[in-house]
Amino acid sequence: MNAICLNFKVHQPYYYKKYHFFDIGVTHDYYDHSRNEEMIRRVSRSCYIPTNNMLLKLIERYGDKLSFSMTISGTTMEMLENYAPEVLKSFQTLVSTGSVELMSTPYYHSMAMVKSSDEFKCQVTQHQKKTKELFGVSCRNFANTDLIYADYLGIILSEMGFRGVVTEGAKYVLGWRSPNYVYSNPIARNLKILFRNQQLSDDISLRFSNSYWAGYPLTAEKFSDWLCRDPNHKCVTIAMDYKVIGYYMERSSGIFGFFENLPQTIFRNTDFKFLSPNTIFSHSDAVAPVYIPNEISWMSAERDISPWLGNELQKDFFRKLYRLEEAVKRINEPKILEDWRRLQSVDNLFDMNFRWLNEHQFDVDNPQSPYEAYINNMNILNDLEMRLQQIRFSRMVIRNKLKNTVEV
Amino acid sequence: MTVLMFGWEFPPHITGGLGTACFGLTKSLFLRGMDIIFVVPKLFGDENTEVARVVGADNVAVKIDSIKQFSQSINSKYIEINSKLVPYQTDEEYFRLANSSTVSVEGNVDENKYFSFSAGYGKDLYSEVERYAIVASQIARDFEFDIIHCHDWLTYKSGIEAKKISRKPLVVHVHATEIDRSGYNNINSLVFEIEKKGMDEADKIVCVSQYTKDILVKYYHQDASKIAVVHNGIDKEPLATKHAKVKKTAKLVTFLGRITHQKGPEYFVDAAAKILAKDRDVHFVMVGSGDLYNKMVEKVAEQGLADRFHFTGFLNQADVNKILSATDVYVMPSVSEPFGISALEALENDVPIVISKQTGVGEVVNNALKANFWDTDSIADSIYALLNYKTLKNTMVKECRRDLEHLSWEAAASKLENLYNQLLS
Repeated sequence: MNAICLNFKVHQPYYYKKYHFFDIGVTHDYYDHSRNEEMIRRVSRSCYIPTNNMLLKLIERYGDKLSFSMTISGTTMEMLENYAPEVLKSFQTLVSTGSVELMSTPYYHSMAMVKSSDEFKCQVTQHQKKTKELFGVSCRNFANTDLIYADYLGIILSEMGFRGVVTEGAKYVLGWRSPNYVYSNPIARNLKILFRNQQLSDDISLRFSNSYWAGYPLTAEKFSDWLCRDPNHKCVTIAMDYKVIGYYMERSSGIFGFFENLPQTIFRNTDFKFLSPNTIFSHSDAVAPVYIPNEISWMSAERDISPWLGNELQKDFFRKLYRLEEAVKRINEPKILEDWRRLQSVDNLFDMNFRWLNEHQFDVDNPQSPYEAYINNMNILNDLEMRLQQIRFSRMVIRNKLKNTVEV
Repeated sequence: MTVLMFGWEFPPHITGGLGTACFGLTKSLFLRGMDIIFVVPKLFGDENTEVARVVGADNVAVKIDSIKQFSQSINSKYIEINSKLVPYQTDEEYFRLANSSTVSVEGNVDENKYFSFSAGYGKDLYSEVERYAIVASQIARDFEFDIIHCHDWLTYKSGIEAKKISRKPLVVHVHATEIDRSGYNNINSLVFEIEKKGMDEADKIVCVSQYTKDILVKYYHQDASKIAVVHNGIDKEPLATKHAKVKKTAKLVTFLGRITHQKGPEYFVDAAAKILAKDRDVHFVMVGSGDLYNKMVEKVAEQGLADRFHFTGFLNQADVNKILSATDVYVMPSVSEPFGISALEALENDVPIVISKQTGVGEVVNNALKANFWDTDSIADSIYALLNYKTLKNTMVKECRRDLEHLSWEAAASKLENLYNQLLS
């Protein structure tokens, strides 16, 4: 069986407002609400709505021949609920066709697994609950934040009852092996792994609109030829950010036309089927285990976690953030817990990446320097710590008061 | 190759970045095998003469004939301007005013005349600039050289004069403009005209940053292709070797520069007030003097910061070094800063810097914390963070020093040499 396995990452980060040092201990609202609303609307307009509509039409046309998977972060579901319920509805319609498999992922788009498996499990469970609540489905397979994965994560996932995981086909872990087979975790052998085909995925997500690229313009015909180029292609995993369609690559690039034509062309020219990860995991046995001792991801040239934990600022913030874990959980105030968890988003870590600074190029959606980002994050973290102390203190006062009353 | 340079300051008699830059460039050009004749208005006698032949304009015997020709060429007997403009004003007494304000052209053609200069930035500045140009015309007759290079507007007239006499190519080096000093709504049009004339007459314009180049194109209407950006270098010798670390007990935030509109001292005071409202455990020091000195003292008193905010007045280099070595954060909130060498000096001593986005030095230190000069919230944020987040301070200094590795007077001199060669070929 030759399969093409599409996976779309749907994620929208929370933007923080400029949180000054003199705000510490004074105000506890960290978010840029209007920007969050504006961004989710903007992305909805250019990507979510038109792409959902397009995919819905394709599903109606091709029925069960066409299925794929989506990984929607919990924070995105929240924001859709709050700011764009009609867009949430369109996702729900899409999922209700039964052709879209929702993947499990950490609710807060975090990399908590690196620091705390307990916190990681909390966020995965929270995400499953939210998915069940909004979409009425349970996730059987997992796609981590930006496809981060390592052996130890596989073991945790297996313990949690997942069947399989999608991760990056990083060449340095695959070596001579092709990404286009089903593999397994070397210790938890029952956990199956699909590796993202870097080449073909990036042909769409990075190079599609690049007119200097030799493959330009990429057509559905060309893509289906490349798919069959390697006779050993069994199941090709194409994973990308959903926002590539319509947001990063505008309508004028022809990206919508490409996807509209893709199923038809592939069905006509090849024997590939569009299958969801769950179907693939059900029907294919793993060909071999793959050892992945250190975290891999789909980010940057290194395909590791250095984009988020590469410099001292990032490491310092990360360390200090998780140092609060015990206190946050002991105090157990929902608002504080939520603020702390939202801070864990890898977007916050990525803002402190130096690469942007040294290349004189800024994230258009977030034009601040890594130093500014660090200062903002640390100010917020300090405020969070102060809130924890205040609650701890006031509880202590009440406790002592009650004790005294009892004694009297 | 011999370069005839006109400057206004030469170590050890310097009041700001200009003297430091002139010396750094001269030294490196000398090391590249060039001979430099460096002209200053006045010789104090203790100038560093190892790297250049330093000529004091006050020691040049000017032929009456030269003066006559000069007067004819500018079609007036003498221009005397009374102006309050004092771009590099210091309150030091040693800047005594020149004793003659008019030029006598009486006497025999063979007779010599000496001019006197204060070499300061006093109110007699314009007549000194004129006299300097007269002496320059004589120097251009007396010396052999291949190229003329003059530093900042005070010397542009001299450069033009020397070019007229010698017909050698003229390079004007823009370390600062009137736009920087006074703000474009407030410029002194006489100075502006001298600057523009200098640039117009020059064969090549060198400026210290892209920031300044943009100003030259926008306000002085210069052709961008005529302008070369040569970033200043840095003398890579940390204070630690020059000076023992000062023992300190409190956190110290330092402003260092002339207390004038250009340097944005009021934004430093505003940022200090914001920090002190949150944390009284920080001290602020303002080193320097200038026309806004009294206003700043008043502002600090009004806001009730005086117990945490200190003024030192103008300090010599040894004392500046002492303060720098005790400083936790160096702040340069300049409204318009063509370069800002002092920020690099702070970095070289492991002092993290907060600079305004309106500086040239920001082009070479990517990793400095930057804010718009008027955004005192952000400036205060940066200061607070550097005082409280150790990782930030360490990382920033480390990364900035990496930025500085590419920066040297040698690199600047090498660019200048190429430029000279192009002009001479």
